[in-house]
Amino acid sequence: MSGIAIGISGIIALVVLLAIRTPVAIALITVSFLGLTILLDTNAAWSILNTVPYEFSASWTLSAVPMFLMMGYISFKSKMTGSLFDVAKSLFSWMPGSLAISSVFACTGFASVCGSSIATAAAMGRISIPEMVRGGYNANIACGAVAAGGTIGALIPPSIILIIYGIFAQTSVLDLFVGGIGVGLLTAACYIGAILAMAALRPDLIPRRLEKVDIPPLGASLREAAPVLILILIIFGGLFSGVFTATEAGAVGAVAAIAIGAATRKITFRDVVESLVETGMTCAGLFIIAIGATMLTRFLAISGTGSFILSLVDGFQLGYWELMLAIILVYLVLGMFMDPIGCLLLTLPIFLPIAKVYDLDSIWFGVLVAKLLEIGMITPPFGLNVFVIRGLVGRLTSLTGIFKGVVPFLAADLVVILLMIAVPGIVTIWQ
Amino acid sequence: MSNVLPRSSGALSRVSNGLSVLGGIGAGLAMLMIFADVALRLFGSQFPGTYVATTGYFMLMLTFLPLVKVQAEDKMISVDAMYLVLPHPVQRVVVIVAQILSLGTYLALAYGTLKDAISKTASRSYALSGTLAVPTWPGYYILPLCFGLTALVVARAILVHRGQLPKSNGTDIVEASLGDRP
Repeated sequence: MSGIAIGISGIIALVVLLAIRTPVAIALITVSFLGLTILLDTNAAWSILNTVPYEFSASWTLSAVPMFLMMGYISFKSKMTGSLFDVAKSLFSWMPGSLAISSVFACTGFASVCGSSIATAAAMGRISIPEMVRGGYNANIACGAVAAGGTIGALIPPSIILIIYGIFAQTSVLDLFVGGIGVGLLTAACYIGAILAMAALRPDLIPRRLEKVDIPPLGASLREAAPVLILILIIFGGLFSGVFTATEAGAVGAVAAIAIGAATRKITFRDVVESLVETGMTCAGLFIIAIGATMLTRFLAISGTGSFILSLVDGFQLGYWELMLAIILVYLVLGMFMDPIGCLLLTLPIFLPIAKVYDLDSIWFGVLVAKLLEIGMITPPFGLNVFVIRGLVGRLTSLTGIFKGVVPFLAADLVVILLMIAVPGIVTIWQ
Repeated sequence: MSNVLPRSSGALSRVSNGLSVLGGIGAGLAMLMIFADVALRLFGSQFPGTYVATTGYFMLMLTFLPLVKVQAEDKMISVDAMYLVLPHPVQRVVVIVAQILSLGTYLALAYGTLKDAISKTASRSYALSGTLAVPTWPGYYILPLCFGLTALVVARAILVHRGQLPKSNGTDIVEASLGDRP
């Protein structure tokens, strides 16, 4: 049996194992270890199994992930979102669809201290959906706006997806963050465009005028939001001025979030402990998959399967748009069924070399993949952001209803993807 | 053995909870040490051993110690789409197959990383922090300990639950991601 045949068999075995609900990490490690045993010899395979878990996890760059996760959990528990929503309401109350626009704006702001799509949607949904419904919004659209707005959380720095991509692609996390800001803001702008269009065309879904909603004075809401704005300033200022590395920005941000939460009496000692434990639990679940993905990368490289897949793709003579279409389809389909980071780690060993052969900018490609993965958070049947919102709103609407409410925002996402592909400079111009 | 394992479930649960808290403490210590290092840098100084302690101990603590609880609560990331459409008896079979594979994998990881830890102990491995030699070999033992305990959790699940998943579903993934949702 040739190396390539072993590699292809390994990929098929991987798909079968995933289909029967084998944990992604276990499927990756099992297939890679057995494949390496057949390809090389038992000692070589054991040597890789013995060393990869330590080598992967004892990493300074990787430590940025728990630091930013911690900051996100603490900010989430400190309920820093309400003030951002009030600021947005004060700023946009003159516009049609202002509450939905404010939700998207506040999601973008909270994304700057959170890094998680789910947490952003949950934190904002609790505050803004009841207000939108009170203001005469269709419940499905109100829920859809927040579920979609939450996806901005994984694009605007600090994005956990972009950090993990940066580690695997061996590319600058800071450059990825800069690219993420551009696409995050573009996504917010397109969502706002979709809201304005709906307000103009379907006033039965989004009322043009605000009623039954209190609009706080801008000065008061800015004073209330000052702590979270300071936190954003600390993180972004430190990161982009070169004072902090990503890990240091995360640690400083987490300490600052605790200090702000304690000073405003919005966080307890128990909240901090729970945030720390949740950070560990999330990291354990993610990093064991990343260890498996590292082993799979070695297996594919040693078996020659990686090169074989590349020559196969090269043989199809795919043009730029055809390749993009193929990548978009793969990520959209996988994203419907898989957790975004699991999906990222599973596909990178195959897609990163393809991106290199096609001379795609690694920063641009990373941000594109993050955007595609986040679309999976709001597409049926397993759109996690939609599940979160469903959990928050009780009997207000059904899961199907929320998926319907997300459709206009999916159309806006399509525009973002097309713009990213047609004008890659949107991402790379800031580098 | 199946009679022994249920009785040990309380102990195993306490151990997994305790380890997840220790993992959280690792995360907290890393946060404080890195923050102190940044703060001291403003005064032209630095917190000694930040890099070595973070990479050689804290990252290992927060990555591997909570794994036992993640497995015990069936919060490992997996793909449910195909599984959910299978008939119930087939679901039980595939769950057992996946658990047996998990058991084998964790045992292999425990054995392999233990061998690595023993060899690092023999060579008294260390890392330099400035002029200070900080021993790193004890950190290697975190891996086999956690993989071994995780294997024990899976073995218990195979013998006790017999193909039934704990009472969790898709929304638990959300809970796991959110923590204690307000």
